Amino acid sequence: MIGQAVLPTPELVFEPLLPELVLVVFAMAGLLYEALAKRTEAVVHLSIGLVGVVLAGGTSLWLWDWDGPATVLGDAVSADRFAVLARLLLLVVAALGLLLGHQYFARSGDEQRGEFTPLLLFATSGMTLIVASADLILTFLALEILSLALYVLTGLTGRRAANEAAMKYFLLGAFSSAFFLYGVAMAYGATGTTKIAAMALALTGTGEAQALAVLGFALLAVGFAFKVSAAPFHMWTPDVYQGAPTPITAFMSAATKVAAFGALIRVLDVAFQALAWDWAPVVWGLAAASVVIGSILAIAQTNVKRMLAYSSIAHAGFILTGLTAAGSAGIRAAMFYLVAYAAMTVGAFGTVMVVSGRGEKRTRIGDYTGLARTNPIAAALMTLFLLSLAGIPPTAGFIAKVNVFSAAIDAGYWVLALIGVVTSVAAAFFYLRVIVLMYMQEPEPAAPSLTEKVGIGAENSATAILAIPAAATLLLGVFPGVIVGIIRDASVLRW
Amino acid sequence: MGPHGSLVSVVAVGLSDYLPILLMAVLAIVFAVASLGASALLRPRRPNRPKLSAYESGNDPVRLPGGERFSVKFYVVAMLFIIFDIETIFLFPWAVTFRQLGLFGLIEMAIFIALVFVAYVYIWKKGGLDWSATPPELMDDEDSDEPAAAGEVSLGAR
Amino acid sequence: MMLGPSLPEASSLSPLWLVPAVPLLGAVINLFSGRRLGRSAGWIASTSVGAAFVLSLWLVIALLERSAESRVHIQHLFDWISVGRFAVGADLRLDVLSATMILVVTGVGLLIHVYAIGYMEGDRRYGRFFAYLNLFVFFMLLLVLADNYLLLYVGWEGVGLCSYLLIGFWFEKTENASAARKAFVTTRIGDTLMLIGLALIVAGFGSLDFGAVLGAPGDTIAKGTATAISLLLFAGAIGKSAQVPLHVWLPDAMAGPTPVSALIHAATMVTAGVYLVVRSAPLFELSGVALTVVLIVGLVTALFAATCALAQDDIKRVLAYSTVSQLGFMFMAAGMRFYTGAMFMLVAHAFYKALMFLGAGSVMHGMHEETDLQRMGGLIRRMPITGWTFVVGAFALAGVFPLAGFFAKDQILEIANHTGRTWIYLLGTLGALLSALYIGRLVFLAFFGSPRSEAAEHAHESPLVMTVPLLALAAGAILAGPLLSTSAEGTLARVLEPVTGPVPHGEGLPTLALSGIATAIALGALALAWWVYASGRVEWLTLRERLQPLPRAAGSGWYVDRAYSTVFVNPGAAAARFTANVFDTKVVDGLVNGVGTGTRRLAAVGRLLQTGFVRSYALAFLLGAVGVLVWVGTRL
Repeated sequence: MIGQAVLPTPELVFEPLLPELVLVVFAMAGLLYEALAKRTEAVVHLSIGLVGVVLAGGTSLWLWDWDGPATVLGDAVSADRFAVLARLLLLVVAALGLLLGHQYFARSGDEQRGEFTPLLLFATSGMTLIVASADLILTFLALEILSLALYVLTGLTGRRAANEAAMKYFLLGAFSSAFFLYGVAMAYGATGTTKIAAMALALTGTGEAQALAVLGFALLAVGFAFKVSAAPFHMWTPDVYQGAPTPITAFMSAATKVAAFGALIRVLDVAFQALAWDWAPVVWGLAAASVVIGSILAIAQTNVKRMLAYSSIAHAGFILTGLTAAGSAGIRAAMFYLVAYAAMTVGAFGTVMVVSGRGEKRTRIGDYTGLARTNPIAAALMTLFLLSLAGIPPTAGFIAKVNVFSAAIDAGYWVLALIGVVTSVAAAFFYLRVIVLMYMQEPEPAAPSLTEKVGIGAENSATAILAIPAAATLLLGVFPGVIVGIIRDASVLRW
Repeated sequence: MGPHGSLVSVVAVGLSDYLPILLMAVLAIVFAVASLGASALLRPRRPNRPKLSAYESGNDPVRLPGGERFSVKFYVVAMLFIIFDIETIFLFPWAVTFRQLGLFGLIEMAIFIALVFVAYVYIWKKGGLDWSATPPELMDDEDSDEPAAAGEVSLGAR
Repeated sequence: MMLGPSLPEASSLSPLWLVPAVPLLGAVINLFSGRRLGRSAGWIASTSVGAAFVLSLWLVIALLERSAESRVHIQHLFDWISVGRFAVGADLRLDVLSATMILVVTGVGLLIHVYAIGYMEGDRRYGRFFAYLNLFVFFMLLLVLADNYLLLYVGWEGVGLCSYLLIGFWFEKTENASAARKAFVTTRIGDTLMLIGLALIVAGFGSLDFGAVLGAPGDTIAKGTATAISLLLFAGAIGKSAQVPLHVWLPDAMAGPTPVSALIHAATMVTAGVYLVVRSAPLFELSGVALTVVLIVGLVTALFAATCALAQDDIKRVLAYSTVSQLGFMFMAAGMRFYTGAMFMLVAHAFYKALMFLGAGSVMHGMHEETDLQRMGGLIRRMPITGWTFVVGAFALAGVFPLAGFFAKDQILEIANHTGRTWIYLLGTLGALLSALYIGRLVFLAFFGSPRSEAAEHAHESPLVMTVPLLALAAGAILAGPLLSTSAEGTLARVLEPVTGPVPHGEGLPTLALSGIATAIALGALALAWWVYASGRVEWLTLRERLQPLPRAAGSGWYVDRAYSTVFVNPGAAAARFTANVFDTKVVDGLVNGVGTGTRRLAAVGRLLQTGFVRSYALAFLLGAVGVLVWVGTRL
């Protein structure tokens, strides 16, 4: 062995990984601070988190004009603009999650959880890594990084509901990971590689249907469907979203979808590009099932967090609807939808957090009765986000829906678009119901106004944070043109 | 024929050597199901306590772990053991091929060890390695639980 | 030739975007710091509109320096919406038609802003008022400068919003708030139909750009589609321009401050409907039927509103019905393809009607908010500037040579005669007679005869800041005719021709004879009005009693409001009550409390699956995975 030739090792080009490295370094700094400091201050944790996120964002921005190789570190990490845009979106969501979480723990009266910031940063690093991953092994690793962090975040408060949610999420998540890994194995069997680019090359031009590859894709799709909570792999979603602390629900509902869809887009439109004819029906089926199940079951919910969870299932279906169109048309539609969805869902869960009060006592839909009287700002914000989720103009949700439907129709899947439109109408019912309750009914006499409970200061700063998603929701609805150019640039996957 | 045939041909050609095993498995399943089913249909049903108890070679059954509470500390220790075990196992092949892997291997390993080290410091300071003084974070803190209000006992049961 | 979007090259027309932007800036400043600015809020607002006016003037001159065919400038600001293949940009279009409109909007708007500085003096929400007024000007400019129907619609809704805010500006009084609501809801009926029209345009043309829609070859869409689109657009115009049957909101809208009535409900916003029809003329012509509808609605409105105006005792309500009637004349002109006539009347009307509204405001200012004609009289001695400028406006409206209104109305009737529409001509002439009568009645009751109340005797002239705009508008009312259009093919018509097409031709009575008839009718009606209301020889109140119930019916607007209440509003309210009491309590509350049995049944299947047990979730997961694999397997 001694004196043997040097093993082939990849070139050391770490720049495209800088955002993740920054996030991990700051996460570790947070952990050490929590472990070593005599008395920990929540503000210090928040600052560590925010600085990390902002620095990661800065390095991501810098990567927008990256002119090095398209993939680095042995073709495992992609350095295209798609990854940059997805990362930036994730980092904005992470910053909002940090701020909301800080508010939440500051007023909940629970013991401060210093692990919140590091865990959130670890989760974010997994998410930003997965959207840049160009190797299915790395994709799997990133998936596990983000998942494990999310499991713990879900149960962070130690409340019974949170623990139950975390346990369910963990068990089912492990189950889905197995499917994912099996899919990777099948894909390797079919192509002899786990690299996305090499896989695409191996699959093009052979002409015949490739059984193993399609099976591998189907199994990968199951794993991704679980992560994006697409039906029929959605069962965990309502329980976890309801049980998790609301700011964490806000973070993971938006960020997990962005991350998982980012990776799914790479798998669909690069690795299995040649098999589009075979995977489109699978995506079609998942999309149809998700929009129908999400929209119908949401109607019966009495808890706002559960209702929004079902709504997020339906939205996963809408994004999948856009993805049925292979190529950059589908990517553009899906990316716009992800941006819009991130804004409105963080906003909606954030507002739920403001309304729920200390100890998350008020999350039933009935608690929103007459909210326009007791807390007009929260009611107005909630109305905006719900209108956007329902897809009513002039909000981001409307433009996003039109985009995915027209992408699906252009690809010839007008039946799916029709299903989407019909269920959107049905879904509008449960969103509007909440708005009606907030504005057209008197508050229950016993309902305490929020200001009594948490003090005006806390409420105001939480509301101020929500101004960001609110502005984005409106801006994208009225002037969608502002990001169309950026998305066009980012919709080209380099490999 | 490579892996590029249809599903049926993959099964038929690639796995044809295993056909006897498949047949064997099918036979075993059929036999088990059939004999259990037949006995269920034919046997007299007169249950009593000894008959229903678990069969443990004639001894009195020992209570199963499901009915008892183990201290959560066991799980923590088990997890920590696995983490550091993996670290060791990972270090070993690296040490063997250290020269061949060169700078790349060194940097990768530095990152890995740094991560595990920070985790180690964290666990140490938080008292995870301390058997006697259980830190509050790792305790099953019953008192911080909400009272289980009606309808909120279990998520999703509605 | 400006066919595509403008290139970044410097053009003398490139500051176009500043025209709407400057009033918007004024609105923003006043909205956020109006309270601190105090009195200067009014000056800031006026300056911003003034700047927009100067800029417009400069741009229009630059535009007119070009040759007639190249007088179009399209400015692409940014991509606004791009969904699939459908794209809408934020594009502004300056052509002769929009040039006419921006001059009217900023010019008349400037005078009214200055006037309002004096009129709103001492109001608690002074800054807020000017913020709204500036915002209105912004949206109005957006409406007329838009290069596609969607941007136009944004302006359209924006002016509606500002109108709502300004009618209800003194919302402390219930009637003002309800008038604002009425205006909003009534125009919303038309707006909704118009939005459907826009959807049909997209379906038919695949675009909303004026260039693509109006310049499309004639066989792009079927005639029936063109009729549907035109009528839906016209429905929007009916609502906005207060035509029968959606006219009911405008008289009530007089609850707003008088400068608002002058700017929004006389000179600009209500004429947006006329602009829309003229702009969309190719669509209306493709349909043909739609033009007839426009003509008939215009004619009916002109006559109907004139009779109502004759019986009003509130000075502002007379003017409001008069506006409705005059807008009817404009639609008549458009319905006869005499688009330049409609535009000329729009310009002339903006001058003399704004003048009279501001005059009425000046009267109210001088008489402690008195609006009842019965309590006025002889005011011309107390407030000479207001009085005489008002007389100029009234004579212009009545159609006295050589004021602007004379040419406007005369030309419309001439075209009716020359295109062989004898009935239209006769009824139009009747409308002109009624117009002269009601405006004569107003003038002689208010300004001549003897004072009929304490307030009228002690009325005082308004300050300079209010009378100067009156004088400027009076000059406009006098000069607009000779300057712009002394014949049906006058200056304005020649300028507008590239957009509106040539003036229709035909044979009929000689122009001079028609003018003679018109003048005789106007003067005769005015004389009659003087004899009844100001000569002192007729007891007009007794006369009115003798004619009952006719005046009462006309005074109530022929009971249209009451009919609407019975037919629409009350059943609507009942439905709303039903919704609130039965639907909300039974259905909505039922859901909320989780006892809605219907929904429970709906979700029964879902509940069976969603047990809360991880094992059943895992089972569902497994079944799903098997389903996916089977689905894939069957397709191999």
